[in-house]
Amino acid sequence: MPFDCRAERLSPYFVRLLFEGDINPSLTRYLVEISKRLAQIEDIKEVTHGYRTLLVETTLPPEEVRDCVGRILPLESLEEAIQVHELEVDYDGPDLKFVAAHLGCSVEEVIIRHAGNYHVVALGSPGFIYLSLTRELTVPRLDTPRRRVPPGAVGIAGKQTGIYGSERPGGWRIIGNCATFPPMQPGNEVRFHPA
Amino acid sequence: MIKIVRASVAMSIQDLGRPGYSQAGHCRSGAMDRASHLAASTLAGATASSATIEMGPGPCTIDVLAPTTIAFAGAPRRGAPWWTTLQVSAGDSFEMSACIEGVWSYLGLAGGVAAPMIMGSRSACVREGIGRWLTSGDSILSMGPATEPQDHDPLTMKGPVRVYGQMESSVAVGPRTDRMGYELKGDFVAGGEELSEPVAPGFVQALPSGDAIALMSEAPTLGGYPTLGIVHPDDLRLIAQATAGQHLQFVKDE
Repeated sequence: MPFDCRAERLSPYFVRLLFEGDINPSLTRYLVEISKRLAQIEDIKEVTHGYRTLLVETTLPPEEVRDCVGRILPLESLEEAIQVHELEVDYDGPDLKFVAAHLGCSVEEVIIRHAGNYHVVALGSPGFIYLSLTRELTVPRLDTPRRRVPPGAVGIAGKQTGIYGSERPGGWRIIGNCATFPPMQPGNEVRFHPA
Repeated sequence: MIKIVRASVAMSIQDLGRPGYSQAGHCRSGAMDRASHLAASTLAGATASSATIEMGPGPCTIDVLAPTTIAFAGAPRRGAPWWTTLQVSAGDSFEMSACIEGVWSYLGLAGGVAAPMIMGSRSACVREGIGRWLTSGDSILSMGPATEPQDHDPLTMKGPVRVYGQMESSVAVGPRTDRMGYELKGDFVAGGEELSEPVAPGFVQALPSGDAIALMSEAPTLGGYPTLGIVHPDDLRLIAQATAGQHLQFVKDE
């Protein structure tokens, strides 16, 4: 295995695999590959990947799921050319001032820290794009999620950042908005530019 | 064929959902109360993979346009026989009240409800742009062929909820409930911020406010709030059928 993992049972119906390693496009591509292959096993109903974890819906023992991962030879796609998406962001979100106040810096400083390069970690439902971690931008989520966040909203939560791809409820701090964004896949690179 | 004369709130076509597409960012979807949905199919003469009509809270009226076999299951309403096979004819009409107890009712149709199969499922997931809410005036067709209707015992809408994790207690359901999640009022310890982790229907997450949210059929594929526990899949329907203010008894099952 290019990335070592340990397996734990969360309930009789769910096993979680935790992988070692930095959060980078190679780990993301490996998790996507492993997820697809595990999902082909008859006793596994669903596999979902996150930043460093896989959630496996199965009654198989955790050790057996881990052994399955060990037997999967990853394809060479882990190192293939990375697709890049250049995105313009209007940094005028409703939580921008809160974020600046929380971090004790100016709004401009928040924008400087947020703009830059990330990679797509996972796709959420409905239409959420989870991106890799921010630098020096750690903020708590909302105490109570908003009932509606508009599509294109760019949010931060903890160390994470992401894009709301469609209108949905959400608890992330909204700092900006992308007018347009193309379909993306895990492993793709995203570059945020202030509009 | 039947016609919806008056649609309930959140009325949609559902089956057992679409597992296997979380990687593409699609939630599981499917009936909020799977056991009642399956009962409606069984009673009406449809297979386990068939779709039924899920009726949310509020009154609902349907007219029969052509003879067929139907069945009502799940949250009971006045105005129609419940948990039984019904041979119906053109001109029959069922003017149903709001739910007497519970939240989600199911209308099964012989041969199953017709709807396009999208990623292995006929379930609507409106927030993902798959299917739509049913509205007054919609006509519903059967897929066919019908199977032999079978009896099915009525199911309870209330009972203890088995959970794996740390939430053994009595918890009131809050006012914010939908096909994605049910708010649980309480004094849960939220814990620290975490990276978003894969989640699934049945995961209960603690909000910083002290309340929690039980993730339901349209659970996001990842969630960032700490997970308190995971509900037994057979008992998730008991949360789905709970109304605002109702207390749920969570019991440890390990």
